Amino acid sequence: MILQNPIVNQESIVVGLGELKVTHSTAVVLSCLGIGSCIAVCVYDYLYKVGGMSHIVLPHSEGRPGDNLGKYADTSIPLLIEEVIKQGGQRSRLIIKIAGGAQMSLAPGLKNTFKTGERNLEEVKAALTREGIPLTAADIGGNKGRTVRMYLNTGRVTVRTTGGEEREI
Amino acid sequence: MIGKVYNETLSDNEQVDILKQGVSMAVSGLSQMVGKDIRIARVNLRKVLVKEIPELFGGPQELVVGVYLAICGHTNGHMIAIYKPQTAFDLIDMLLGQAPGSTIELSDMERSVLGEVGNIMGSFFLNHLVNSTGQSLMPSPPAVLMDMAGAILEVATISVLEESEYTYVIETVFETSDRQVYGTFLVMPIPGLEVC
Repeated sequence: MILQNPIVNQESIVVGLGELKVTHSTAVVLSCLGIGSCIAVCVYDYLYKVGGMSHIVLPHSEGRPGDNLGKYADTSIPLLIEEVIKQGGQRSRLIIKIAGGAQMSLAPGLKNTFKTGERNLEEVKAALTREGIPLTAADIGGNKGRTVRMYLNTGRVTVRTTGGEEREI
Repeated sequence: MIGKVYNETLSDNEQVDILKQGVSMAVSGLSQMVGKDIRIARVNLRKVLVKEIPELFGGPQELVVGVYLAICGHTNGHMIAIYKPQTAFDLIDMLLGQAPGSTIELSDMERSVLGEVGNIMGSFFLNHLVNSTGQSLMPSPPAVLMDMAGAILEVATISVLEESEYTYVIETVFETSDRQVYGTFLVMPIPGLEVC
């Protein structure tokens, strides 16, 4: 779907590798740029117009102390949901959309071919199940990089792959 | 410090010299392969935030061609040569003796040619390290990817992020005088990384 009516004065905020950002400013567009096997998790409360995005890199934190908890699926998702609720969101109204988890093809025999994308997806889904919030939309898998954006004025989430158009999920 | 990566008995400066000479060998390997004089425009060794690595290539959304090889052996790490797509296509035309502009996409044949370029650069680099330090180091088979820089570099950065937010990179920009060949060779030596 082609996007219409871009809002004026919108502010773009990039959510980098392992980062997590939450805002209730409706002028903000949160984005994860050029993600491969990473996963962008988008959470939005359509009534209070508060939302957040996690750029998940790895599935499990394995209890590493002092580490950046935004990086891992199992720790980032509870944090993200908690933060959205703290800023006025209500659990029962949260809409969750995810994108990413591609399998970037590599030479055989390397540890990186151990399906990071798939493992990330499994853990993201497991973490959402633990939170008891269903997944509304997903654009996952494949072997292409993606740019994911969430428009805080409506909660609309879009995905663009190389050479493709930005489309809503 | 990176100085402890390849040989405990050498000083930091000596090791940095060896790494830089290795990079210069890699570029000379490429130069011999394409039969053109390719010089090193810039070589930097520095500590960077892992999440900022895609910025070295115009940002995570930039469409690039990457040739990836893992370093396996006494120590481990990643090597990636990054080209703008048109430069990669030009390189392929040069190596296959085709008229410039013949290559417009990467099919198996083209990927194999770029993989060979990766093999040459990786082997020349590691040969120099092996000869200088006496340690055993091998490149993995090459992987050739064309996609957004962020997605390609994740191949290396994800494994680094399991351990640390920072890494050392050796960033080498090489070019011909007419800039027909231009690219960046990135080496991330990461001891202890299980990559192979």
